[in-house]
This record gives sequence, structure tokens and C-alpha cells, in this order.
Amino acid sequence: MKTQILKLLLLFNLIFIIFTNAFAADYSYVKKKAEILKVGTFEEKITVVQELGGLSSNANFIIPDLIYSLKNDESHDVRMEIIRALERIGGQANKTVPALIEALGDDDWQIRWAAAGALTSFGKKSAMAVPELITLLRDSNDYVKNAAISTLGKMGPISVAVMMDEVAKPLDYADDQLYIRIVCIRSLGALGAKAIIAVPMLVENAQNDNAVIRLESVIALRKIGGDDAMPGETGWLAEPDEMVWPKGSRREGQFLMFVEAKQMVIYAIVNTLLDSIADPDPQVSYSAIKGLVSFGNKALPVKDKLVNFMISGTPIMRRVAIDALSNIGEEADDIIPDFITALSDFDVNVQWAAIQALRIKGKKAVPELMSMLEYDDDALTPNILKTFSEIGNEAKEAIKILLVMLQHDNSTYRALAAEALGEIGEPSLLVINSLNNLTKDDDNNVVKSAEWSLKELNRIFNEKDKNS
Amino acid sequence: MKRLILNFLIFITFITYFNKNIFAENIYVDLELVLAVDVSSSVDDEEYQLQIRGVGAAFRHPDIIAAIESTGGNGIAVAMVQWSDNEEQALVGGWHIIKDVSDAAEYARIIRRAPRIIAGGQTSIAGALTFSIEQINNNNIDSSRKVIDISGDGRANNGVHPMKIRDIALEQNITINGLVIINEEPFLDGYYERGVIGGRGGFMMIAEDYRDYAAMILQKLLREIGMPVS
Repeated sequence: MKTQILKLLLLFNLIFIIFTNAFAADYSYVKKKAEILKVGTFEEKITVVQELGGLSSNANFIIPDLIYSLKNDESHDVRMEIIRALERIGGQANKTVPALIEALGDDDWQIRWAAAGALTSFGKKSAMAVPELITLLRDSNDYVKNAAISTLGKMGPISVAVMMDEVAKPLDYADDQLYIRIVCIRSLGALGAKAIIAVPMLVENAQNDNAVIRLESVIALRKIGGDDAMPGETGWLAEPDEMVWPKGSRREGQFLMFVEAKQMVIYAIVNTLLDSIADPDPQVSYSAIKGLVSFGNKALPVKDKLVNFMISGTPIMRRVAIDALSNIGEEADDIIPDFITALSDFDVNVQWAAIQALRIKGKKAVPELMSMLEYDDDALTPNILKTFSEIGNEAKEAIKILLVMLQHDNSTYRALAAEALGEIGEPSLLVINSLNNLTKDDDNNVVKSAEWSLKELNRIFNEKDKNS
Repeated sequence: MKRLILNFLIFITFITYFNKNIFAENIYVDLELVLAVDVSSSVDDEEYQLQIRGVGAAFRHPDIIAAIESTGGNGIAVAMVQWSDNEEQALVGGWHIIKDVSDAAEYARIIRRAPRIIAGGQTSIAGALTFSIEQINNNNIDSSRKVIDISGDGRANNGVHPMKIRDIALEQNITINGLVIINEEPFLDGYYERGVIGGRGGFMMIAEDYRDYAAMILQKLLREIGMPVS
């Protein structure tokens, strides 16, 4: 027993010695590099800083030296590199964040820009930079403004209140208050469920006289409502300083209460989107429909309106209306014929949306698609065949008619039908023989399609054989 | 016996020389295009499907085929790269020369079935660009236009700043175009404009979310393939 303990101790000692020596070697190596920061040439400094940044958290102890050089080096390029290195090392927030805050006030816009971006690496610890970042929203340089708002948007609940304050300010508060309001609304949307507290304010802004504010509010609302995060399910919702769902929401009874609360919020958002469909500005109307895509069958009350948009809207409206209708679910099965009509839309993106909508419908769409193949329409037939490919195995009912299409005069139809048979993946003798015949076709595209499908069916056949 | 060995050596030398010449000769195309697709953790499987189905659909579009066929028979070379963090990139299915409708359909089939090789990870745009540049430099293909078409939904949070690698690409006459999906970071377009895209005719397009991807990639490919050689 004693011998075993002795062996164990020896092993621990050995590991300790190896570890400390390795660390010492790293430490002295990195410290040597830090010397170059003070006395090296421009090129040497750049190389060293890049190298230190590459060490990530292993270069933690060198942060004070980097901060010193950030404050004192005369070269713009070296200072930019140091900011990037600090971002990558990401440690000692109590020292790094104040240094980056100082850099936010630099005369050089690129330094301000880089520092604002670097603060994202420090998460909640960069909270002390919020006032300076808000000031940067009014910076003379657009890149700096964008970096500041982007960083604020990543801070989470800490910055929600600050951004809400900015949204609440009247438009005549400052010359650029319209811009500030818009970027803050956009950032609130990007925060998703973390900005749920801002929903009433955004609903109000969705009715503003200014079309741009209405548009941004609608987009933000759909992002907040479309975020699946629920109380207790993600880390940030359980953070002690969060403002959205109190920690107690993890308890069973309260959890249900918060689920209901979220549903009420979603109800308010959907109602706003439904109202905004009738907005006089087409972009707002489009965004409202696009928002409904995230809410599935909650768009049911406006199904008829969506069908109207699908038939008579602009191409982009038609596309997004199809997306929204396809997400409604079973209650919109009656519009399968309308989706099929949309396959022959003159806009290719509308056609693609219709193909995808029919793919979602799967087996239910197959009989109608088969019957429409009889019309042999140049605009419709190729897309029906593509849809069978997209539906895949659920379209096996269509095999018989696809075999007939393999004999069609039009080589594009033959190629698409051959491909659909491969995607459906039923390796019957009849299908394989028909495709084999097609490998002698005059058209190279048809031959390649048939060969691909045969390869695919062969693979499926071998897999089935192996499993049986 | 000596004569036999000598003949054998001459034969081997001849074969080696002949093969070397075959492999040394690069294929010439009008455009080398890398489609670098974001598969970091922010991209879920449905969004991945929307991307690859969108690319597949684009290569079936008659305008794309017409643009490819207008390259005077040279065609284009395309490769898809999946990327996430600094160490995670993969070339999906190698390089493909597309000259006509049948090549395009073949490529569409390959892409539509392309598995997600990288399950997630952080976002290293620099890593994606470095890997894409390597693919262009080592593909035994020559062209007058080399383009990396990078799409993503987030700023880099891993690896060096993309600006550095962008500049390396530009030195090698490789253009970088961007397709920015702003569903998560609404100001990402500014970041791409400043730090990612560049080069001759370099441009960027914005998709509101992955549902817009198919429409945007079609427009983007049309612009990339259809751009006249000047």
C-alpha cells in the first residue's frame, strides 16, 4: 500500500515538474517578446503582436505590456494590431476593458472602430463601456457607428434599457436622432427574446408616421417573436442580472406562467404584423408578411389576403406570401392548386418558393401534380418534374407517369423525369430497365441524368440488400 | 538481361515524362469560382438545406446555363467549401468543370446531396478565405478570373482578422464577393464591405434570412459568371 502511495506521489511530482517547467519556458519566451514591443522596429513589433494574439489566453500575463504599448506607441498600425491581439487574448477584462474604453475616444477613427469591435469579446464584462458606445452612435464615421451598435447589440439585457431610452427620445432630440432610433430598433430586434421587454415600445413604433421607423419596428418584432428561446432553456435567461425572465421562472408553476406570458407577447406581435399587412408602404407590408412566416398557423386569419398577394402582388410579395402560406400547415392544404399554378409564374424565385411549398406538403401534393402533368405546358411541366425530385420518396405514386415522361419528345422533360426517378429511389425492375434504355438517348443531358439515377438506385438496392 | 533492364528504364522514363506533361498542363476555364458556405454553429440544418438547395436550383436556371455557355466553350470551374472556425474547412466533392446544361445539372445534383461535413463551430472568415485561396492555387486549373464567393451570417470570432487574408487574395488577383445573411447581425453588411470583400468588380449582396438565399445566390452567380472578360 505504502509503495503504491509513494509511486503515486512520484508521478504527481513528475507531472508538476514538467508542467511548471513548460510554463516557465512559455513565460520567459513571451516576456522576451514583450521586450520587443518596447524597443523593436515597426516590423518586429507587428510580428510580435500578431504572435502574442495567436497565443490566445496563454498570453494573458502579457496584457499589461500590450496595454502600455496601446497607450504609448506612435504607430497607428501597431496600435490596431494590439487591439486585435487584446480581442483574441480576451482576458483580464478589468484591465483590458478600461483600456479599450480609452481607445474609444481616440482621434483616429480606425482605432475607435477596432476598439468598439474588440469589446464584443468581453461579453457582460464590457458593460462599463455602454455610455461610451452610446456616444459613438453619434460618431462622425459610419463604420464606427456600426461597430458600436453591433457591440451594444451583443451585450444582451445590459444594453436593452439603454437602447430603449434612445428609441423613446423624440426625433427632434438631436439632428441624427432618426438614425439613432433606427439602429437601436434594429439592434433590439437582433437581440431576439432578450429584448422582449421592448415589445410594447416597438408595437407603438410600428404605427409611427415615418415609414422607415414602421419598417424597422416590424422587422424587430418579427425577430423577437420568432426567437424560440424560452425561460430557463438558455444560459442567458438564468443570468442573475437579466431583465427578461427572473431566475424563479425555472420553478415549475412559474415556468408555465412565463410560457403563457410569452404567448401573450407573441399574440401582440402577430396582431401588429397582421395590421401592418395593410400598410400603405409596400416594404412595410412585405416585411409584415415575411414576419408571419415565422409564426406558422398564426397567420391563418389572413390566409385569404395572403392568397391574394400570391396571385396579384409584386414578385417579391408573391414569393413571401407562398412562404407564409406553406408554413400555415394542414389548414392551408386547400391551396395546393394555387401553389401548382405558381409553378408557372414568370418569376423564377416565385417558382422556386412554390416548389419548396409543395415539397413541404409532400405526398398530399402528388395527385394534383400528376393530374397537371397531362396539360404538357412548357412553363409548368419542368417545374412539376423538379417538384417530384424535391419531394423524393413520398412522390412514389408518380413513378408510372414519370416512366411515360421518359418517352417524351422534349429532352429536358426526359432528363428531369429520369432524375426524379432517381430521387424517388424505388429500384424496381421496370424503372431500372427504362432508365437503362435512356442511357442510349441522343441527348447528353438525358444520358447523364439516367446514369446518375441508375447509380442512385443501385446504391439504394445494395443498401436494402445488405439490411435484409 | 542488361538490355532488358535498359529498355525497362527507358520505358519508365518515357512514361514518367509523358505523364508529367499531361498533369503539368492546366485546364483553362473562363472563371474559377469557390462557393464558401457558412456551416458554423449559427447555421442550423434547415438553413444549411436552404443554402445547398438554393445553389443547386441556381445551376439549373436557364440564365446561368446561358451565361456558362457564353464563355466560348471554356466553361467555368466551381468548388464548394464548407467552413466554420479556423481549423474547420472542407472541400465538398472537389472541383467541377461546367461547360453546358448537362454539366450544370450534374453539379446541381451533387450539391443538392452534399452532406454537411462540418457540424458547427465558431466563425473564422479568415480561415475560410485562406482555405479557398489554397483550393484555387492547387487545382491545376487556369483562368482569367478567380472569385471566392463567401456567404455568412456573422462577424469573425475566431482566427485572424479577415482583412489580412482579403489583402493576400487581392495580391493574387482573386476577387472576393460576399453574400451576407443579416438575420442575426443586422449590421453585418458594413463589416463585410469594410473587411471581407474586394478585388476587381468585387461586390456584396444582402439576404434578410436564409429563405432569401436561393433568390440572392442566383442573382449573385449571374453577376459573377456573366461578367464580361475585360
